[in-house]
Amino acid sequence: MQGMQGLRPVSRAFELGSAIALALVVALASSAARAHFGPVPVSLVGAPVPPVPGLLDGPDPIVVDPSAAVALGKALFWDMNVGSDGMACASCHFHAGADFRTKNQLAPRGKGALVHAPVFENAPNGAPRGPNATLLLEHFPFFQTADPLDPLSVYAPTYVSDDVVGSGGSFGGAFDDVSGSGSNDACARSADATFQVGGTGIRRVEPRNAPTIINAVFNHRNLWDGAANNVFNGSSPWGDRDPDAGVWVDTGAGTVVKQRLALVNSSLASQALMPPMNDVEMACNGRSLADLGRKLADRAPLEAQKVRWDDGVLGPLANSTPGQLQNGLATTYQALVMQAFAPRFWSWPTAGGFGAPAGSDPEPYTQLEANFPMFFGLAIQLYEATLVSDQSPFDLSAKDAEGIPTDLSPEVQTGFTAFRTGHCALCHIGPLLTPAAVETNAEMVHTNPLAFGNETYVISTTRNVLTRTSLLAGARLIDTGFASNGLVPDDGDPGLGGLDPFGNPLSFAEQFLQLLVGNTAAIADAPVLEVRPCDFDLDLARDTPIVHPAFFTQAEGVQPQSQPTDGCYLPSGAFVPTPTAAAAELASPTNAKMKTGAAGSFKIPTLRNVELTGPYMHNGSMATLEQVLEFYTRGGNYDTLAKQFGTVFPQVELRFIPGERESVIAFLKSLTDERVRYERAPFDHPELRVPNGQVGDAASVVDGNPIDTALAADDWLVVPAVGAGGRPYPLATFEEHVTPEPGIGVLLAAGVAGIAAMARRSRPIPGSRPLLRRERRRCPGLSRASAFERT
Amino acid sequence: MTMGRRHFGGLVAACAAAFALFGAAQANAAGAIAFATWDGGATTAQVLAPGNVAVATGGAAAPASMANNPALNGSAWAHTGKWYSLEVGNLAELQIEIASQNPTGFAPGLSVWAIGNGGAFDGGTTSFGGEISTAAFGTPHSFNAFGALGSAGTLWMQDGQGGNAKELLGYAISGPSVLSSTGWGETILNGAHDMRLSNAYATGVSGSIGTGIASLTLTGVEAGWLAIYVGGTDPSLSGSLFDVTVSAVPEPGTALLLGLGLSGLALRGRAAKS
Repeated sequence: MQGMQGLRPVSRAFELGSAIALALVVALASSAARAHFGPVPVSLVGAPVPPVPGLLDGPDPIVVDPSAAVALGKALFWDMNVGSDGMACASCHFHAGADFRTKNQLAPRGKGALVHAPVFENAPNGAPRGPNATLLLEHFPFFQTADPLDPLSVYAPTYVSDDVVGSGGSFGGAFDDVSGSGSNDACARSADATFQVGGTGIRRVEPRNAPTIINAVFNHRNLWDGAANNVFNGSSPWGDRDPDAGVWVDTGAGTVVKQRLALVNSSLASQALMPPMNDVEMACNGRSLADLGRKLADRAPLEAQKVRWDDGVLGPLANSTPGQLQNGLATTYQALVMQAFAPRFWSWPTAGGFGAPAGSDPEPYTQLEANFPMFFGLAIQLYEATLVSDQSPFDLSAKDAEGIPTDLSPEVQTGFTAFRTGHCALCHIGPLLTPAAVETNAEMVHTNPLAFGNETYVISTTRNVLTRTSLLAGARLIDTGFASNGLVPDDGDPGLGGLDPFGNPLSFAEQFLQLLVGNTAAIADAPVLEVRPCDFDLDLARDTPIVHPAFFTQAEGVQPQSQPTDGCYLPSGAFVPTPTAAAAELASPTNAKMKTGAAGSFKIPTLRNVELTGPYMHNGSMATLEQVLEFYTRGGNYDTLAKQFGTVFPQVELRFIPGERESVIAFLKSLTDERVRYERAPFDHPELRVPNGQVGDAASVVDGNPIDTALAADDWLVVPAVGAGGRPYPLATFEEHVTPEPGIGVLLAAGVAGIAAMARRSRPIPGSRPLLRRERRRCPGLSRASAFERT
Repeated sequence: MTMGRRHFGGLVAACAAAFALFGAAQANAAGAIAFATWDGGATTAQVLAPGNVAVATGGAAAPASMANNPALNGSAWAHTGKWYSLEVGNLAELQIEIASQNPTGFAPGLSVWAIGNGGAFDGGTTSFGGEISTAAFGTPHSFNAFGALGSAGTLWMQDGQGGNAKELLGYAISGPSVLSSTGWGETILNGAHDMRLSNAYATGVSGSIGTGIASLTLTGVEAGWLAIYVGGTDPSLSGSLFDVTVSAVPEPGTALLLGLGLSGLALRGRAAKS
């Protein structure tokens, strides 16, 4: 035993006893056997959708015909006329609610990462990989080490790129006027300084990966940084933060007035307003949603896109009849708005008084145009609210008394346990497998407490929109549902640490610091005022004389929390620092207690349908679930300040126990709803033409885009219309989609090998099964090719 | 580095910054930790007689799950190490050895508590008494695996408090010492250490450490239950699986008789062949 330090010699008698099998193991099946570690993932069936009081209910609902509103929302979501140059909302969310395009999907750095130069890195093999490049499987992951499972390997990575796999969007340009026909608005366009090939402009790329919209209705806030406010104000994404927000209401007494609106649990509506006003994602700079209303009001929805007669929502409105596939709906957007929404929002008979376009169009807005942001946001929210995938094998499996699925495969069962023991379930918690579903989780903790922990570990689950927990930097306040996993360094994308256009922090936790010092005026979001400190996962203050480095005590000054203390998660934490103590700590150069983990944290995503929603992470830097498991096995890439200490750390079981990572992946795949995989209702959709980069490649492009000669020609792909019954072949995964085609040489070699094998009439051909799988995948008329057609 | 020193000197003083709030009205829920399985699949084992051996192969623990985790101010991290439970008879000697499957990949450590003869370790109670470490962790997410029961960070498992553990018998860590500013004010020293406060459960504790190995030997063991915590003690290592072997060492006389018997069998076999 080399290296032993003073090991006491084992007695000869002991060795003899062992050697002759005197050894006896008596193992008892203990009645005290413990339940597995921590929260139990739980079915989504019956999970409560966050309510939106006043939207569909109450004495004076905003929406009077929900079915019409859903149809309006689905049409708007898929309509290419919504963008200034052919982008629909669905262009980045057409595949299991996400985007799996592979061409011109790269941005040169993370959003807001100003310290990083906007330079595209070469691929791991040194090949150029810049604007309009086509991603290949070997490009992933963007952080590579000699041994991707070794936690120490991250300190000597072999390849690092801060490029982001986002979504190809708009050419941008300065808005002048909406188009009278067709999709393309009148804008002053030119080649972008970054997104160009040989001086010819290409579409810009959003520097974050597009998350799935499926099940997004459960998120308290949407977008990776939570910017889409929980409160919808009817005219902008910023909720109560926007002082000028409001909707125009016909009072019925001869007046029309602008009123503030505050619909809670309406983050999807807030989110919907962002891309159509974003000159990277969908629009020319300066176009408003009222301008979009002007563009669309008199048009037939989806006028240039085929809609199946059996579309689950749009079929009754479609021009198509069985066997006769036609474009568009037999109605107008204006008609749908008037059918769906209460008249007080569109009935004012004259234009004027609602503002006017900023460009060359002199005509003032109508009430319907001025309120188009509200119609647009709420209709899309109501459509997206139908996209709930609660029919996965995991959802449908029987469960035992402790919530453990009982009729899934042994591998999935093993993965379910490994998912829990590996601490995955501490963050991916509740029916959505994310704490970002604040309202739903807060309801379900009463009906299914095991979903949020057991005697070994309980995650405090309440309506608190922030908590306090241990990060690598120490005890920090952090927004519920957000975390850093050490994916990118601290000087990368700040995520939740960003600001809104008014200068307010996006983070609730950052606002809470201001509340603690008594600066109530700085609180932009009402839920911050309702935060109950005794429900934090970790105390902020205790009523004790002893000085403690991590929380406030009497030594600095504490006072009882303002809320009742019934049912506190941590009764000892029902205190806050006095404003004086909080202010002193905040101003102190050694401040340790008045800090947040907002910077570098991102929304914890759902894992539902994750099999189909690659590439993964907020920067899209991983192509496969295997790469994701490797990332978590090694404990992340960087020791970021906000990294969640107890959830992302080296995982020995996942690294060393054969089949452990594979079993977790098997469990993750049990979260795929077959209706999503086959695009059956409600996941069916109209036809969509998606810009898939520009004609050419990363080295050269074809110029002469009909929109502007300074821009490269678009390389369009067509996603065929799918009816309620779904498609005959499953959606491909990103890994399958991005895998390079096998070369002729490979096929030839395989053919030769096959002939040789036949001659031997025995022994399987090494590699033959993967090849056949790939051939099936690539075969026109089978899976992928039937979903994607070039035009 | 066989230590074997005794600590009859009383409880380790609680660090001023790590303290408990008594009377926090938390019921003893037990089960704050889950037990790993022995080979064969059960979560408890009996080692009642000399010559019995209990084995658990392929255990896994985070590299710094017992000591030297900077985020815990060096303290132990209950849910990323492994807990083992076993029952022993009256034994002259009991050896507990943790061996890394890759000696240079994992620096094991272990602590052993006497639970008494009233049943197995009940797993303790999460956050009992509101204890919280200097790194702001409650128990047993972080806990004191090195201090006598009653010290800060141990109430969650102590008999009469949050659990039913009677006494820390000893610990051994093969990673570096943590000499100050620990999460619970505990002292964490490289090597093997006798931490008994009495002779009630064992009359002696010794042990040893080496590269990828840590062991404790209890002598004069009273019949009853033991709890063992195994974790990593060096975050600079990348990790490895480990094996646990608990051996009741036969009395020399027993071994001698057995040896004689076997010799006799061998001789008889030879005679038969010839």
